[in-house]
Amino acid sequence: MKKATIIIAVILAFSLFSFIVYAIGSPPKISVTITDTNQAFDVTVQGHKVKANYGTTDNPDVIIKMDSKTLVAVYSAEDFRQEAVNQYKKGNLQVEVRADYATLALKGYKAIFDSFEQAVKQGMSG
Amino acid sequence: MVDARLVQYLKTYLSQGYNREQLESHLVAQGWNRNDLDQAFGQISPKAEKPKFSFFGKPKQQVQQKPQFQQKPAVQAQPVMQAKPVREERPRAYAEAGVAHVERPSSHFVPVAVLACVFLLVGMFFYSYFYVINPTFVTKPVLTKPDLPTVGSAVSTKQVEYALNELDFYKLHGNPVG
Repeated sequence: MKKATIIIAVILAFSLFSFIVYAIGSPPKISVTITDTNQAFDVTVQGHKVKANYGTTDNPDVIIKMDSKTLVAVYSAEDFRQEAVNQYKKGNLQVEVRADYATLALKGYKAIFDSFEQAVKQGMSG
Repeated sequence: MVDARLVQYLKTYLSQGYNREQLESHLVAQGWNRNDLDQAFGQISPKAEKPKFSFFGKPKQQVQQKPQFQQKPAVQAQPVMQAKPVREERPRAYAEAGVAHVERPSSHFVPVAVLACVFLLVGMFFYSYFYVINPTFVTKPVLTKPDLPTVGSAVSTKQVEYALNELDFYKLHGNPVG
């Protein structure tokens, strides 16, 4: 009986934590700006789905700036990540981090950072 | 009224060389009442068999090897004194007094609780890392690739969504504490 109580308590704790993480936490906000066409996009991620709307964002976590030529280059590449890294190194793609590291970590930005880091290493070895 | 089996038990082991003190300590540990024991010893011998102090060391009968109380006495030949007082056979004095048989708490709860807490902490750590900080097991949504944007022309929201989806931005989620 006591073991069953402990198991149930663990399951409830995980469920509550999942609910907090995925349902009521403030979603990640990214601001994307296309400089030559003066377009701004307000991008959020809800339920692991990227949703973009026209307009500016209040207090974004990350601001990404590029021109349409860079976007076309990234779009046309076979490996989006590798091309994005190349454009970043050339200075055509600018990334400005606004949120603190704790917020970024709690929203899962580490996964993106790791994937870009891997792309950088592949670019260096390739 | 003293239990006849108790008297018989005492007589048997006294005759084998055990002294009153040894038998008393053993039976009290088994849950017997001292009053009952005193009465039983009184029935056996009015002199009560108290251990005699001697300048010359212990009396001979005390030098014998320790009684092997770990062994169960023979069932048929002698009165059976079980290692633990079983509920239905506990000393009569306790039953008459209506004293509840209090069981000692299970000794397994604390290690199980500690182990459960350790598993919980380890589980929370792995969950926090692989689902919150570095989401690893998220399925990538499959999006239809929109038409290629042209340089200088307006960019659509679908093109931005597709680009960010390919850059693993789908792994992001809400801040659990903000």
